[in-house]
Amino acid sequence: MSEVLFEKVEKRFGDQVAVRGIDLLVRPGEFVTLLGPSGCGKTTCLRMIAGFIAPTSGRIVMGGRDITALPPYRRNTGMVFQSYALFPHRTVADNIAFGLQVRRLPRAECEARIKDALRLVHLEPFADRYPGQLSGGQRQRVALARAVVIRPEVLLLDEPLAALDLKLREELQVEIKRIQSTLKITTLFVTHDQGEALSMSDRVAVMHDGRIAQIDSPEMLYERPNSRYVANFVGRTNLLDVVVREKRGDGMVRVETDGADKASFIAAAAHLQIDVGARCLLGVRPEHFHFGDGRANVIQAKVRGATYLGSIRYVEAEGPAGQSFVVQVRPGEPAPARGEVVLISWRPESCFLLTE
Amino acid sequence: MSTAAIDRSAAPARTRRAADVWLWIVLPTTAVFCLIFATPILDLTALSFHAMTGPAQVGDAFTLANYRAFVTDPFYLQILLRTCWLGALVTLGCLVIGYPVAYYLARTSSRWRGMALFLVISPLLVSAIVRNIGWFPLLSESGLVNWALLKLGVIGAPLPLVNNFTGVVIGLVHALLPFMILTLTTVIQRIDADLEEAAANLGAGPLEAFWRVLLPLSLPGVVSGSLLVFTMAISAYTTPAILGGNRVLVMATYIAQQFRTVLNYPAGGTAAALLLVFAALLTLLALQVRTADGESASEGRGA
Amino acid sequence: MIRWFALRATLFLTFAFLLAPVCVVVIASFNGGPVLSFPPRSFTTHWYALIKPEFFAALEVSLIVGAVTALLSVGLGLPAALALSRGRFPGRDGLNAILLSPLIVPALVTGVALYQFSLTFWDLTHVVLGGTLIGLIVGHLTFGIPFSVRAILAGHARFDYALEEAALNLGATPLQTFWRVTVPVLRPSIVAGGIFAFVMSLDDVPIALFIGGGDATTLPVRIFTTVEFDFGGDVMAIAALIVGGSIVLMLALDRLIGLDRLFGARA
Repeated sequence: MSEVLFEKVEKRFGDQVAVRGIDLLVRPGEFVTLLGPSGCGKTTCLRMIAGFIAPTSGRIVMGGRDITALPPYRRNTGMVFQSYALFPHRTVADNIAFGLQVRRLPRAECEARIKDALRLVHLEPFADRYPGQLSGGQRQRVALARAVVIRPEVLLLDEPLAALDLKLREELQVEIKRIQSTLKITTLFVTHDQGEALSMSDRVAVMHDGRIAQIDSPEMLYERPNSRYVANFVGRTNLLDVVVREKRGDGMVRVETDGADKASFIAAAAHLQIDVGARCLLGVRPEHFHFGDGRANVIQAKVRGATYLGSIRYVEAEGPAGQSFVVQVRPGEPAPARGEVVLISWRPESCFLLTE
Repeated sequence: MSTAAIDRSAAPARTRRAADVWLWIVLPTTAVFCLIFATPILDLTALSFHAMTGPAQVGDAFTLANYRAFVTDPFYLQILLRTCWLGALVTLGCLVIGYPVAYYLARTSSRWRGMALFLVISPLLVSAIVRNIGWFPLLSESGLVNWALLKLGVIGAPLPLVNNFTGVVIGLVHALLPFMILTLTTVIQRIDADLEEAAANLGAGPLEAFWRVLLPLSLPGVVSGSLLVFTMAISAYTTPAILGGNRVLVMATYIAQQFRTVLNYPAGGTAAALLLVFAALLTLLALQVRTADGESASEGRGA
Repeated sequence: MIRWFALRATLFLTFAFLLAPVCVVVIASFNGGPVLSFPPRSFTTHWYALIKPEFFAALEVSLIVGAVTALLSVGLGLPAALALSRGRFPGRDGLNAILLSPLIVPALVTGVALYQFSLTFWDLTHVVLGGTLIGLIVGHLTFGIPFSVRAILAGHARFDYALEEAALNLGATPLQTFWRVTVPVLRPSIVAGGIFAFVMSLDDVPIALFIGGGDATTLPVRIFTTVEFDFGGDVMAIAALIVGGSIVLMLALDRLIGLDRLFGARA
């Protein structure tokens, strides 16, 4: 299992810059997701590792080898395409066999590996079917088997579940994760679905406009986003404009909102270089809000409406300076009525500061 | 061989190299093609600018006399006219017979549709020679048509229906009818059936609906299809030669005659060049009409 | 009601018109009396026995020329079609037009042009083209190549490049990818192009008439020249045999194409 290293990799298409000077290290056996909206450069990065696109500048190193100039068929990566790209003229077994045949493996070994691969994805009875006879989920599993059977150094997945419906997607997410951890292959996964990214990955790289905005474990990404972009892209966030008033010894700072009704809060800011008097944003996730004044940070708000989503309910409220809040109401908790003035509170550890 | 997957937007040198590969790949086919097609056609055209100096002999001097003869000599003008007349009659025949069939094929949902389509194309699957031979027992003086007409007392003596212009018209209509039917079927299919229902709802009888709705809308397709059939009719050789009994002189049979028996190559070459240009122009015109029609066809649709 | 009947009658008459010559050929070939008179008054098979051997020689020529034309058309057409659909080189659109242009040229014009060219060619190189199998094949390639290119271009219109990327990713070199993925996926249209070229070659008269001759006479040309001078019953018999052969060929193709679809692109 190899590591993958991007060193100042840049990609231009004419005047357009798709990827701007990216540095990235994926450790051996790690599952890293590139997450971002269309056009952020995530697929471009993936295809540069596969070798279908050459970087304009920079180096790509895999398992200690500089592969930047290598053609795709010499790189030993296994790619799963969004459209599956199964060879229509070959059976499932023959599709899986393709990479092995090209490597000229002896027949007996081919057959053994194909059998293992089919067992791994639970498709043994389908060996002699043609792709046209399979469902979307089955095709995806064949594509996966085909990619892993060659024992690649790196597994690349390009939005493989985008064409499937929700239930199937969730099922296959579990499958892919299971296979990946069983085989311990270094894996790069590209998606625009943050739920997918958070549930499957060891680390997630949120990409924006050709750059990595933040790369972190799912928890850190969610609880301590480093920018408004990341805070809004991953999950929902409530943002308050505040000014830093005091730095406390325990890594917390005291901030204050502007305007007539000044409200004071304590927030965690250990990792930020921030000065007293600086303006910044205070972010709180909807589920960290509680009604009532039970926690250290409190603010008053007027309820504007509510949205029911089955397992959760969101209550929209307006703060004293016109800020909008979204509060997640847990089942069993009573939701306040429209027009009611309520107190919202949260713990200092449950919020974060953003400088932009 | 590079594939489309390989990125071409890197350094310009690499782009040029990728394009070069394709040039090399297409080179053998292009070379063969120029040799076997482009060169002969050019050679033929060149021939038309020379004079005949004897049977199968060609002079060296450049001359426009051949072309001048074609536009002034009544003999040649007659051939040209006969050719156009043939084309017109055949096209008209195909239209009149083909439109109803095309309408049926376009509108029906009966399970016989596939079978009917197959029947329409089936004559094309048998060699043209065979079809032409088959007309003789039908059209000859002792053939089926004359036998039936005599039996019914419609005529007193057998009609000359083959080895003449009439036979050629019948044969060509038969040969080109499938093309007309297929073209018209596509055209009519693209016209929303709801429009005819709307016309009926507004009080138009079937003939009026045809005249006011179907015909105007299908007109571009009709024109395009007619141009193609016309072109094929004036380009045809086998059918006019056989069914005309070598007596019907249209452009195609005239050209063949020059090269086979009369041995006046320049005259044949001139006629061939003229036929080529005429046929090419008509085909391009037909394609132009078809593309224009295709562009406007989508505008009539609702959202 | 009248309209329905009128439409049905028109359809029936039209289909009868379309099928008449072919049916008549078969029936007339068994006519005990003169073959050109219809309906036949007696039945015989002796016309079939009278078929001259030169017709079978001509059939052989037709089949050989047809097969070689089909193979060469596809062999030359495939690279051209790929270059036209994937390449971005100057003059691509022009080349597209040129390669498809024979389809607008009347076959007769091509025929006499090739005849004239064979004379010029002999003047220049003393190599004989007229009256040879090579000449016939060359002549038929003039429409074989365009038809193949067109068929393959049509089949390539929806080509999924991801399949080639997948092959490259799995370790296949570009050449291996071409043979193991590109060609198999394009096979239905390649086969269609080849079949088209074969059938058109078997059917052609004008080109084979002018560039062929002597031993290099195809079946349709042999029949054509025979009919010009002497329209005997044996010609009707041959024509009937051709009808039979065409039906067999159609059935065979239906079988093949059916199977082909099974193995071809199914995804």
